[in-house]
Amino acid sequence: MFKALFFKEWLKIRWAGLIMLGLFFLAAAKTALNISYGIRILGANNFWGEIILKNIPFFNDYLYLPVLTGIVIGIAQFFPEVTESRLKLTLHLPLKENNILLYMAFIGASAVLLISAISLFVMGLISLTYFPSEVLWAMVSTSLPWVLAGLTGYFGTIAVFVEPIWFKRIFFIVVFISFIQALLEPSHLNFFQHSLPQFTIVTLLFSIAILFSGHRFRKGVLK
Amino acid sequence: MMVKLSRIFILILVVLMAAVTLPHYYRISFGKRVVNPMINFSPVTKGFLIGSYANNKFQWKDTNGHIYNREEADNLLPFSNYRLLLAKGLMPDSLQGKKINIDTLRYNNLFMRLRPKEIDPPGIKMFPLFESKPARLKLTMPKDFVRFNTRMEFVNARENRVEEEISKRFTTALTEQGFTFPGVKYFGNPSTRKAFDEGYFVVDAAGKFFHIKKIRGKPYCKNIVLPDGFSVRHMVVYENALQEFYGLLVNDKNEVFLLLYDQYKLQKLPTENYDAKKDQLVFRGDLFYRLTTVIKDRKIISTAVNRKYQKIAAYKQEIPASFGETAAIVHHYLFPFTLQFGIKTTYFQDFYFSDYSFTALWLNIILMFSMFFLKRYKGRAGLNRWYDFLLVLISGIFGFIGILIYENTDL
Repeated sequence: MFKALFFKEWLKIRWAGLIMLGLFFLAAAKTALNISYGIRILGANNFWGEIILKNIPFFNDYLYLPVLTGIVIGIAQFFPEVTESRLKLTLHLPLKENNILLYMAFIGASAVLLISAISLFVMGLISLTYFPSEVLWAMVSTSLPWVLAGLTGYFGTIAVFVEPIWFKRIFFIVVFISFIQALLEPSHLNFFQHSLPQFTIVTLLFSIAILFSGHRFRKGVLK
Repeated sequence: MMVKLSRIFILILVVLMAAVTLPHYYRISFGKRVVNPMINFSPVTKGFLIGSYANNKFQWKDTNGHIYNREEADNLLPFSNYRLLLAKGLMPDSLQGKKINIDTLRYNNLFMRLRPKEIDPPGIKMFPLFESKPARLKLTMPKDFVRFNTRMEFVNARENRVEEEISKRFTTALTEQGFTFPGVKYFGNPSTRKAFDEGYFVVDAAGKFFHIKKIRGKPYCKNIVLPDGFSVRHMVVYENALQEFYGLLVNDKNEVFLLLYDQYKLQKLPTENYDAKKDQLVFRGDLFYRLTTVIKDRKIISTAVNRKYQKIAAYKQEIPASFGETAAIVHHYLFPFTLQFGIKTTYFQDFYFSDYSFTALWLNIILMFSMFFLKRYKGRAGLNRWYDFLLVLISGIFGFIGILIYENTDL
C-alpha cells in the first residue's frame, strides 16, 4: 500500500521537484560565476577578505530557494488533492488516516530535503574549489536554517491546503510566516551556530501540526 | 491521540510566535527613543560634563546642575572641539599651566569601545597577517590567510592551498616561545585602513597570551607573561599614533586593563560593576585624562583618571527605560513572558525568553476563568480539556489566542 502511495506522490511532485532542482543549479552556476568574477576583479585575497572578514554570504541566491521548493512541492502534492476533494478518497484508503497524511508529508519533506541536500553538495563543491574548508562549514551551518525554513514552508503549505476553514488558514499562514522570517532574516554567516537543534525541534513540531487540520478536513467541520 | 497531540503542538507554536510578535508590536507602538547621555570630563572645570536631551533639546550639564549651552560647553571641552575652537580663534594656548600643541593634542585623543556582541562573535576563524613594515609604507592585503590547527597555517588565496615554507617558519617561532596549538582566540584589526599594524594577539590552547606580527616577512612572536590566574576574555586592539598601549584587555573577572608598549605591562583601569557579557565599555582619552565608561541597561557609570592612572572622580546616572512608566506596567500585566530570536548582546540567534512576569498571572487567571463561559469548556467537556486551562494559566494571552482559534472540537 505504501509503495502505491509513494508512486502516487512521486507522479505528482516529480516535475515540480525537477524544476526546483533546475533552479538550484541555475543559482549554483550564478554563484560560481559571481565568485570567479569577484576573484578576477578584486583579486583572490581581497575577495576572501570580503567573505572571511566581512562575513558576506556569497551563496545568498540560495536564501529563498528552499522555502520556494517547500511551497512548490506542497502545492504540487496537495493542490490536486484538495480541488474536487480528492483527499477525502485518499484518506479512505485502507490505512489509518493519520498515517496516510504523515506518510504523504514524509515523502514531500524528503523531496525538499533531498533537493536541498543535492544543491548544498553542489554549492559545497564550488566553495571548496575557491575557499578553504572553514568557509565550507560556515556555509553549511549558515544555510541549514534556510533548509529548515524550506521544511516549515512545506508543512505550512500542507496545513493551509488541508485546513477547511478560511480563518484558520490565514492564522496558520501568519504563524508559519513569522517562524520562516525568524529563520531567514539574519542571513549572516554562522548566526545559528549554537541553536540549530532548538530550531530543528520547533520545525518538527510544525510537521505533526498538520494532523489536526487533516482530522478536521476528514470530519468536514464548518467552523 | 495523535490528533490531540497535534493540536497541542499547534497551540505551543501559536504561543511561541505570539510571544515574539505581540510584544514586538507593543514595543513598536509604545517604545520611546532613549539617547544615552554623553559623558565628558572637562579640563577647564576639572569636573564631569554630561550632554543629554531635555525636552528634545540638546544641553550640557555639570554635576552641580549648572546648565551650559552649546557654545559655552565647546569652550569647556577644548580637546574634543579643537577644530571648532581653532576656526573661531578661541582655542586656548595653554591649559592647567601647560602649553597646548595641536599635534600632540590630536594624537592624544583616543577612543575605544567594546560591545558585548563583539566578544566571541560568529564568523570564520581565519585572518590576514599584514606586513607590519611594508616597503612602500602602505598596508596591503596579504596574499594568504592564517588559520590555527596543529600549527599556524598560511593559506594562499589565489591557489587555495597551504604555503609550507612560511607556515613552518611561524610555527617554529611560536613553538620556541612555548605556544600550545591550536590558537583559541585572536584579536586584531584585519583592515588596511589603519595608520600602522601591530599584528594579532592570540590566546593559545593552554590559555597563554602571545603577540604575533610579520616584520619584513619574518615572524615576530612574543609570549606575554600575564599574572597568575589571569584569563583573557577579550582584547580591543587599537593602533594609535600615541603608541602608549596596544589596546584594551578584559579578563574573565571583568577587570579592564591597558596593555602597554612598555614591556607588555598591564595598567588596570578603574571600572565599577562591569559585566562584559551585558554592558558596553567605552574608553576615551585626551591630553590630561582617561575616562572609562560602563553603559549598563539602565545605568551609566564613568570613572576619570589622570595620566598617572590615579582616580580623580566618578559619575553615575540612571538611563530612562525605553517604555514609559504606564506602558511598562501594562507590559508586565499583559505578557507573562516574551521571546526574541535575536538580542542586542550577541549576534547569535536563539530562543531568548525573558524572565517570567508573575504580575501577569492576574490576567492569566481571569482569562482562564473566562474560558468557562465558552460553550465548549462547560461541564464535563471542560474537565477533559484540563490542559487547555493549564496552558492559558501559564502562557496567558498567548495561549488564549491559541485556544480561541484552534478550538478543541470533540476529538
